[in-house]
Amino acid sequence: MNVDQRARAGLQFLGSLQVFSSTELQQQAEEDFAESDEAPGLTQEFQTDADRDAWLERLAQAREVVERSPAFRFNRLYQRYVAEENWVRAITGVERRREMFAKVAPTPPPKGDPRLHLNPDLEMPEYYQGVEWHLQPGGLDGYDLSAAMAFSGFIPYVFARGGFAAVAVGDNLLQQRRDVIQQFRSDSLKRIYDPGCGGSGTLGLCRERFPEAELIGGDLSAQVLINGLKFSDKTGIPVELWQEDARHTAQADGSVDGVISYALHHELPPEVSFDVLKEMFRILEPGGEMVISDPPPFRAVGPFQAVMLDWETENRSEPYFTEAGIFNLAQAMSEIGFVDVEEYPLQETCYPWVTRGRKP
Amino acid sequence: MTEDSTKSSETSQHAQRPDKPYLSTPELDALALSQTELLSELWILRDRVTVLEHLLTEAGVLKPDAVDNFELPTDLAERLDRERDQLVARIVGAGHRKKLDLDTLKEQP
Ligand SMILES: C[S@@+](CC[C@H](N)C(=O)[O-])C[C@H]1O[C@@H](n2cnc3c(N)ncnc32)[C@H](O)[C@@H]1O
Repeated sequence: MNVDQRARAGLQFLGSLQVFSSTELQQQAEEDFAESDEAPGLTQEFQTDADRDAWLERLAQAREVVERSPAFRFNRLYQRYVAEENWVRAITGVERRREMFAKVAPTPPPKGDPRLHLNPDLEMPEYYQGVEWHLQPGGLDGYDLSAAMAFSGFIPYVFARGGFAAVAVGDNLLQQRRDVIQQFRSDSLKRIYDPGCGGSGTLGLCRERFPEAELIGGDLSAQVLINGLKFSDKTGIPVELWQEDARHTAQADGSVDGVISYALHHELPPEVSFDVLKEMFRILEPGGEMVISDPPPFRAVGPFQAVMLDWETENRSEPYFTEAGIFNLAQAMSEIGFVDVEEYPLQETCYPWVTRGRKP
Repeated sequence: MTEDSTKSSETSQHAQRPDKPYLSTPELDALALSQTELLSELWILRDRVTVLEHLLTEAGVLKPDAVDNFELPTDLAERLDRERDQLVARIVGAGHRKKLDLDTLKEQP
């Protein structure tokens, strides 16, 4: 089911603009930075970890240098433009065909369906409430035709081309998820939980490597879970979805042997991130594993890339991106009791950045 | 740790644009954004014309290079000249207008 020509071509234009800005302009901006007097010193400084205040200071210094480049300033203008227009083009395109898309819009299943546990009484955490993530007008639960907006709108025409946040142009978003799932050490997981599972796409891909595993996901947003259930119907991959806070799940102690967390932690304040890790430790059985993929921390990248990541906080409605870039997930996992904790990039661009560990 | 410790006052609850412009001034941002918007409209139109030509050709209404090889008849050539001149005068002239009075406006097409 497609959007009309106007929406398609408008979205495709955004895809092209994002590609141009994230290749030609970004490369020029990177060269401008490399030629600055400050680059060698800053690059060296960024190689060691530091406390929060020191990171904020370093980022401010690096930003001042990076922003001198006209190419960088245009690159950021276009990033912001595309980030806003994604919604404009996709939502207006879906609205022009509302009747058609409404007919296939995911709706909640009858109450008591064991595959989806909605909780209308769930209190949304303060850090989350009212945030229009990624500039999405109305937030995750604000738009009834959000599945069409995403899957017939910006995902195929803009997102799929890459070139935003930590995702590079040409990155294969599906393959990246598969590569992350490969980071489980075990070949035979039986019960996998995905905190902040969104539309359950990652769980669906877990099926490829672990065909026998039960797949359970949790998310705060009812709308993404309803979309997720529809996705499971379409793909025929059974999932069990819970509307719940990843800090307090319905799963019993030691009841899962794998946890996959994809693109969740950068949306959490550090103390929430920490509590999610603790909860995952609780529900994992001894020997169970947790694999996390998120944008890289500042200590893993150079000053130029760090400035770009930090930019997301103020410019793409990602309120915790900076805090997450400072937070040390691997260290937190070790503090909580995970063992064999490792962190490493899967690509030269440092994304996906994997952190993994095992419950002893 | 408590949740309040990072409850950030900078949190962009309603996705506002930051105060600081992306280019050197807010005026320049506005110009660059409207120019980008125009470019996107231009592309949508080009995409549409290409699709139209393709469909018309497939339907046998147009020969493949009929548009490129079309010899403009005089009246159509004159009409296009006139409309192009007007477009240029309106758009290129927008920042150079000296007079805004009724007589001039009445003379304008
Ligand atoms: C960027 S999305 C990623 C979704 C999915 N993991 C994926 O990779 O497509 C982050 C998701 O985390 C959810 N989320 C944020 N805080 C949460 C929490 N405390 N508990 C459960 N889900 C949460 C959001 O509602 C959102 O759907």
